[in-house]
Amino acid sequence: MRALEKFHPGVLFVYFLAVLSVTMFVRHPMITAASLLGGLLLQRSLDGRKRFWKDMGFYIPLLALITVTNPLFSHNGVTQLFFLNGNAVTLEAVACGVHMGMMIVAVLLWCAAMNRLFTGDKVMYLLGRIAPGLSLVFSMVLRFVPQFRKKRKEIMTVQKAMGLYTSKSYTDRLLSSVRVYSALIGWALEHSMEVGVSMKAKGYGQGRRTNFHLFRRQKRDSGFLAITLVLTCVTLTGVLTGKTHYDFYPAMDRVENGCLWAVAAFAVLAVMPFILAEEEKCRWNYYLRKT
Amino acid sequence: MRKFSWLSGLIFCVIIPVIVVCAARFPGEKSYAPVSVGIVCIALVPFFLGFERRKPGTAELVLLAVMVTMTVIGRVIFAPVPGFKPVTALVVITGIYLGGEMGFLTGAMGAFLSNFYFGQGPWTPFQMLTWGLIGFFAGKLDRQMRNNRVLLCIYGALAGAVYSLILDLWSVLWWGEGFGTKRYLAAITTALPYTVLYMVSNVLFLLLLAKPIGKKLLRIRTRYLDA
Repeated sequence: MRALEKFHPGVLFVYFLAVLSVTMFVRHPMITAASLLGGLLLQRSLDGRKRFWKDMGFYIPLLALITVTNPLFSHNGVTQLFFLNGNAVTLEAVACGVHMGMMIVAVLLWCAAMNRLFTGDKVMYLLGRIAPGLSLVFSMVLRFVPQFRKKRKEIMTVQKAMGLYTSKSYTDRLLSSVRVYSALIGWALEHSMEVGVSMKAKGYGQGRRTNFHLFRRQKRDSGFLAITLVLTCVTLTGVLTGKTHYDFYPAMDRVENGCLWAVAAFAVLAVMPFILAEEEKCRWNYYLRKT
Repeated sequence: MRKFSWLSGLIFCVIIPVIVVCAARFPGEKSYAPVSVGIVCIALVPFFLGFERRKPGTAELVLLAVMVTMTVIGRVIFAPVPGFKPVTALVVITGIYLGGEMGFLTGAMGAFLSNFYFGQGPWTPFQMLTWGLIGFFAGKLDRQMRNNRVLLCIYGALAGAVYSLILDLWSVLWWGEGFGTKRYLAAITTALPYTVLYMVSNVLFLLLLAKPIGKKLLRIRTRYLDA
């Protein structure tokens, strides 16, 4: 995982932007399949077996649900399979449903991977240039969340010691939660105003804001960025010249051979992070065995 | 958000229509979903820019951070009472007592940040814009709602319904080939119990929280902000 985490945030952002936009905008079954494959492999590599299959317990029913519901609403297509309540269920609508489900699962998988790799410091680094005020708010919230949770526990303990918050009834639990919430917000406002005043006293707003980070552009960043851009450009050339045009209706198009190079470029792009992560794992195990 | 700058005008009058027209002309591709995400993202920009432009002071920044944090942990604190989340209510209260801009930013940032804990996805921009606008319009109606509990409750119920309707719109755009009235109606019907739950919980939380939290916010405002 370090292999991917160590990349410069800008490079990672460009990569995810490229993969996500191609996945969302290009409706071609092979592109979608390539994206899904890349997302699955990456997720498997980041998550380990147990969590991966737990997540699949959500994605697989989702895929099934979309596949089943699409033909119920869409009656386009020429190949009728059977009739349901007087409406034709067509092969094309089923295929389109499968494709759509795959696309949605792929997007969700890539978003999950992005969530794992884009930690708070990376978001702040990217956001800090364009929106210094909001990125400061962002970083403060990341600090406040654990702090307030701790305080909330203290307030709750005190309330429990006073004999409140003990009954199991729904209204009591709700009212107790409201009381704790209200107390917490009162404390939080006072506390934060002190923070604000002290920030002002230390000279906030004088001169340009900098933020701490450990990111430095390295050779592998430039390499990764260059490969990403080249592969994306190849894919986009295929898309813009209409090579990856595909229609499900009225009848499913055949996949032309002319689009294969664009699909191949995108497939390489999509599995690249998986390869990098696995290569690192192999190297780690190799060194472990050597010592 | 006192004045819409020329940039906001450009975004709302030129860029978004251009995107819509281009998307409609895009050769053969039906790409409602990504286009809608793009438009929603762009619609968020003027609000954020307006905030950055006027160089907010430390008190405002910290206050915003506190309100955002409270929306994030509101989803955690009320875990013992499933289904009841104070997020919308808190965003409305922020809008009423601290102004529309603060309401918008609390809603939008709250959605963005709490999704770091609950899962980020293509729905994030929709949530950001919906909660943001709920806070923004609450700020527009502040005087009326501060003194009128009935109006406050109506606004809360309406906000719950609108939130649900907009997110259903998102699911319809995503889970099917484009928009269809039939699909949308089906989505609304399946989501109906949740919509009702949202509406009830919003009203309940507004009734319980508006007075105590409003008092605290007003105090902070007179003591630190308006001075």
